[in-house]
Amino acid sequence: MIQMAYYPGCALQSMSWDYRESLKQVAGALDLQLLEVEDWTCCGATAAHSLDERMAVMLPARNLAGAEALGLPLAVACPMCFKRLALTRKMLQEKRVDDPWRLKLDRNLLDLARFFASARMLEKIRAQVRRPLTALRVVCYYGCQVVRPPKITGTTDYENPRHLDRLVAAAGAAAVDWSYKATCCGASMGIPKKQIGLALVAKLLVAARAAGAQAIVVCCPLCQSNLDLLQPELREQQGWEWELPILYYTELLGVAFNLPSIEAGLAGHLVDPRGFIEAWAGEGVSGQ
Amino acid sequence: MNEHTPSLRPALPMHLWSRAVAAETGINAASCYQCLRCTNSCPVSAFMDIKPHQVVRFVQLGQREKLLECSSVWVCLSCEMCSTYCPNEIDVAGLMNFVKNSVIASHKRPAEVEIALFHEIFLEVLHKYGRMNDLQLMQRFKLKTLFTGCRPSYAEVKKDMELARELFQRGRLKLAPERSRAAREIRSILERRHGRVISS
Repeated sequence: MIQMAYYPGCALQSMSWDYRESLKQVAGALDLQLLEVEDWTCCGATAAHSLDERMAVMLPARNLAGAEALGLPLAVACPMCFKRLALTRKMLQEKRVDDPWRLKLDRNLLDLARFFASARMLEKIRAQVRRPLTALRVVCYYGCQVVRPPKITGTTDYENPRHLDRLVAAAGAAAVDWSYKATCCGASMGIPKKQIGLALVAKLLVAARAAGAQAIVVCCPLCQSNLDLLQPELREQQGWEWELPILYYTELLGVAFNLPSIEAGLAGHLVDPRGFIEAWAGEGVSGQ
Repeated sequence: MNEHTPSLRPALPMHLWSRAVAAETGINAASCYQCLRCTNSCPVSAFMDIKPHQVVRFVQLGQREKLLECSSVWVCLSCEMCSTYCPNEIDVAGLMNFVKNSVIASHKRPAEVEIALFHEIFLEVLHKYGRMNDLQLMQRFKLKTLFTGCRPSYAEVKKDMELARELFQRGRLKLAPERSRAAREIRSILERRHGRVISS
């Protein structure tokens, strides 16, 4: 049993509950216990730092304090939250901001997807696969926040991250190379400026399809929402006769583990992946 | 002197503003030699009035007013491509953010009111609940923009309603917002803010 402090972030509590539920189920299957930080609050996302950066860092700081009370490494599900928490942690370490909580900052801060792709977790994952998705080709899409800026996220592979690719391979599927792994999806810009959101998402979907992907695997609730929810409008606008399911890595693992409860979350996607699963599992592999 | 040149003259003595920016943010715009790597890596430079490398140049030249009035800084997604790829390690996205903060702190109307209002409404929801809720954010934002002159067309409203219905049917919209028990602490943090978005 591995225990970690866990910060879900607001998206997982509302629109992206499919990520939350699939994460819980996959963590359960892997004997990973995630202890939610008590009374956690929003990290402030882009809005807080756009209006007042000094104030904005106080928001993640109080969540770091909550995690420290648990005395465990902190695992973060949402890339946006991860980046804001990592930035705040660094600023506190360098004493560039006030610290009314007197934080020790002696525990690790982890991006959950990257943790799942660590060697020991990959081994556990392979042992849980009941339905290898051998006929499935996907592209992995990481977005901005878990990789950039490398000074904050601590990543060395920011140009070509591979951890989701490793998870996809562990599920028996093929992750195809493409050039847009860490290209921005537009984040929340699609709400105040829809044309910008549509333009960026269209570019990603076209590139994924050109790479021969049958689905896109993501680790960020904002990326998932943008790529999934804007598809009906783009199909109409561009005259596309195709659609691409957008799956969280946890959903893909849940399908490969053959956890029946994953399907409830999949039903919430606008591009419903449920109809494809049989075909992804390939021939000669039983469903149960 | 033609109409294009004045913008290149320092509005303030250069050493004053660009050094003040460096002192406040730790970002040294002076080391930029205009290689354009920031602009070339930016996914939204096509939507900007002043391109990222020009933002850095304007900081060097002390063109504070020009920057406070530009829309680019609001269009910036904070995706950090520019900051990651700058050969001189200038945090270009950080400069953009500093300009946004300056617009708000100096009580100016942001060039992209809708984007700034979206951030403002985000903090409003946070102030109330301590956590974000998509439905609250969308409703409040749509209502607010109705009163700022940026009126959506009937077709746009219809599309929004259809998407909302679809999401609701699929259980993606949570009607009852979740409240953190620490909402009061968040309020005391948010109330330390400098300035508000001026929308009219």
